[in-house]
Amino acid sequence: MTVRVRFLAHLRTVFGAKERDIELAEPARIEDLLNLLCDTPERRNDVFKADGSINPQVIVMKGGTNILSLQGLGTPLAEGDSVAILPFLVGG
Amino acid sequence: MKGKVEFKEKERERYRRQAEVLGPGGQERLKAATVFVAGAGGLGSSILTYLAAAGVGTIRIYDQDVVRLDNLNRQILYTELDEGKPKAVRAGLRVRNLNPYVRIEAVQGRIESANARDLLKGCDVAVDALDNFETRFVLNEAAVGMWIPFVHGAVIEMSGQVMTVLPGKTACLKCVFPPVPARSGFPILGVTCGVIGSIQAGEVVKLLAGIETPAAGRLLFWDGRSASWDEIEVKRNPDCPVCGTRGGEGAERPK
Repeated sequence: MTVRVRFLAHLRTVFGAKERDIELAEPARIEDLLNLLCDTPERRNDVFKADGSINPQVIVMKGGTNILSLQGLGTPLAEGDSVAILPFLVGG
Repeated sequence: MKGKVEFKEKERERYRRQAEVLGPGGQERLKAATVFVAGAGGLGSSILTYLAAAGVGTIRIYDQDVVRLDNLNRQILYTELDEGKPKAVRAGLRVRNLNPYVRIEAVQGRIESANARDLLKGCDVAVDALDNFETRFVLNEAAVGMWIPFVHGAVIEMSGQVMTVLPGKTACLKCVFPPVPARSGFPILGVTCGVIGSIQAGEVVKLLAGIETPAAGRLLFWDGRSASWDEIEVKRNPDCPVCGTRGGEGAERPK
């Protein structure tokens, strides 16, 4: 299956793209996608905490919903899904 | 909003160049309106400046902090002479000088669950110019619960985001953002606050005048590094504890 991934703000620089279409073997979950994308220590460090959970500085959305409101890293993916990875901006 | 409003001749002249943009009765609606601005920091500086210049009738400013020297790269309402003084009060004085026809209600204080609804009483729009998500969630819950449109903004370094919440219609902050511990002292380039605060002020003006399309159901992203805008769709979470549609207090419009 193919899913479209969008990177926002500085994560574009980290992942070297504004968006990418990623091929995944079925069945796939968000965690599989992120593991595939995080192919360098820097990328991994930006997305995951040391314990393998999502870095709280990053928000991962699937189809307009935060994956934490779905099934987290275990959220299933389907052909044509749209995933966005964005930084959690908090200042003012 | 209150009843009929009248403009002095000088006041009319002041708004002459924007009246057409606001549409028939738009300027009157701005003048009749009360807007709550939570935070008078970096975002607040540009929001307050543009709301006052645009002629919003009553602006309620709330901030708990005092001015510090390391605020001045982005908090353009203040000067070195304001150091140590309450931001809400100094911002109020400054904004009143910018537009004497605007009524300012400036209070130094902390926004908490216990007072949030009182602070928002009588407001037509609430603006998030805060520096932490703990307080943002408090404001979000009060605004959504009171059916008051809410304009969120946040910045770090050269990036910023904006999202307008139309209670009961579009995603609220709690639908999108996870709980986080309060933190502060992030690096921020001053202009990032100018960019994001200006967009927020524009959202407020549009909502009050009843024109054009708000950034609701979408999260707008500004990436200053590459000088580009982006947006992603955000959906309401049916299980949202604030505005979720599966039961709960936020699900129904208050009488």
